[in-house]
Amino acid sequence: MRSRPILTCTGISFRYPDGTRALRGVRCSVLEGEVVALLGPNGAGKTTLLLVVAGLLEPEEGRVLFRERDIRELGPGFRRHVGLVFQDPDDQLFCPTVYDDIAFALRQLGWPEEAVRSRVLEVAGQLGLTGLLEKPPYRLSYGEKKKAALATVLVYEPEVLLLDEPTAFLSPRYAAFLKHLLLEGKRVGRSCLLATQDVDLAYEVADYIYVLVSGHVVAEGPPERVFKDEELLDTAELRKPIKILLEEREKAI
Amino acid sequence: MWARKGLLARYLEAVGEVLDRLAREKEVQLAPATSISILAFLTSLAAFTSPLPLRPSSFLPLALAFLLATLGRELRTFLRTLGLAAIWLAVVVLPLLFITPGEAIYTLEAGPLSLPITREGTSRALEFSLRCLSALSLGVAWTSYVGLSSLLRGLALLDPTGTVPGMAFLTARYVPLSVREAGRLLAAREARLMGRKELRSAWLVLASSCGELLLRAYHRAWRVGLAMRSRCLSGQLVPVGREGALEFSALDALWALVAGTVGVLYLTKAV
Repeated sequence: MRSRPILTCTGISFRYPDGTRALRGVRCSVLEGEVVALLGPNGAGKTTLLLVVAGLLEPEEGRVLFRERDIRELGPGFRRHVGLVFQDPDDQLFCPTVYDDIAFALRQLGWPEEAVRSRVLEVAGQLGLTGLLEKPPYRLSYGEKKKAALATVLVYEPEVLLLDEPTAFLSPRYAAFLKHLLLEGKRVGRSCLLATQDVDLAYEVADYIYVLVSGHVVAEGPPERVFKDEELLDTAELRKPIKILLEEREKAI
Repeated sequence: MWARKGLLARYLEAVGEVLDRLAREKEVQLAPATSISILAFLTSLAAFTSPLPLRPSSFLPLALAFLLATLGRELRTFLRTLGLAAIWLAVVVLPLLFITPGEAIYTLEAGPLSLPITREGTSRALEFSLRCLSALSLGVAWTSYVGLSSLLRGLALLDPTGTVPGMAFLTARYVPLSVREAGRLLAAREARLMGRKELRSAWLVLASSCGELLLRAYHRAWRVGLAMRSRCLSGQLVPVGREGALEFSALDALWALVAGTVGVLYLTKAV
């Protein structure tokens, strides 16, 4: 039985100005310290749901609750509790240097410059970005940009991380790094909502999975249950994780 | 990809590369106030002062720009920019030779057409070209010498709200990205042209790329705006540090002296 939600979406519907219906009555929740994965094909509405949950898009219907309070009541101050990492790091990194980018949110929150410096150095050290702090973001490799984008959010210690396709176009090494980060976050009680098509990552780190197709939640449950349903995987254009496939092969042998 | 990139795609790639190189951090540490003041002084001097009558001092801005580009180790970037600007300028000033009234020094005969090139037209075209090239080359060379961030921090002194330097930074940050994106769009479209390359197909490629680029730029602007809001944006666009903006050194004094001397020589045409 899942309990104590930190984020809850109640019947979220969203339509873009061009008439595209991206979400249709989506209900989902994220518990404290839980990693929840949103799986689904391209265009399923995963990114839109993250933007709605971050309070950046206003839903047509439904509400987003943070600790059982409507985020509209909480106002922009709600954003310090959630950290959204965009799929394309070039959208996320817009400051003259990596240091300024990581410091951006802290400065916006009015931290004194000394405290900003010490916190930025701490996070950069954790993510292996110390040597890159004075570089402009566009001089970084794609993997470094992804790490820097993650640092811009981790720096203000949000209670919920919202990650949009965090492993897209990245090496297995970065995926392993991210997996470690998510598991570490789980250990310290940080929640995470993860929009991804990386079934291996979802299987290894997620506690709960929602499968989105054409803006609907078509299935939900723990990874073991979701990945057993072959018809569902086919509908959602997904595949079984490598671990399950290996287990099945071993059993067959 | 098998298809060779077209001229425009290569041109856009070169522009993106030049902008990227200009935005790089530099070792030269001039006070931001000096950086922005000298940039404003030199470019205004070159843009608003006539280089005519032609004397050795008329070419002082170009010579100084050449020296700066060499010192900034961006001579290749500088020459590429100058070359491209010269091509564009040639297209722009060409009509001036023919449409300016005055004494004809040569007449081009093309069938029934007779196009007189006038002395006044030549003089105006030359003056305009030299002003543009001098101002542009000084701007590019100075930026390559002191670095973009020093100029942005200097700009922050003039606009304490940070709006103008913030916008200038975002432009410098995203224009190379958009230019590269345009290059990729063109290359992708050209790669899918199966028939012989004709004017009509080239036009279609260009028009559809421009439309797509506009849409992509709009979407990127929207996403960057969302990214700012999601990171607790409270008012100031991009913080551009003003620390040390007024800490002058001997190097600042030296460059102020050089700029002043060039200014006097150029204005008085003493050489």
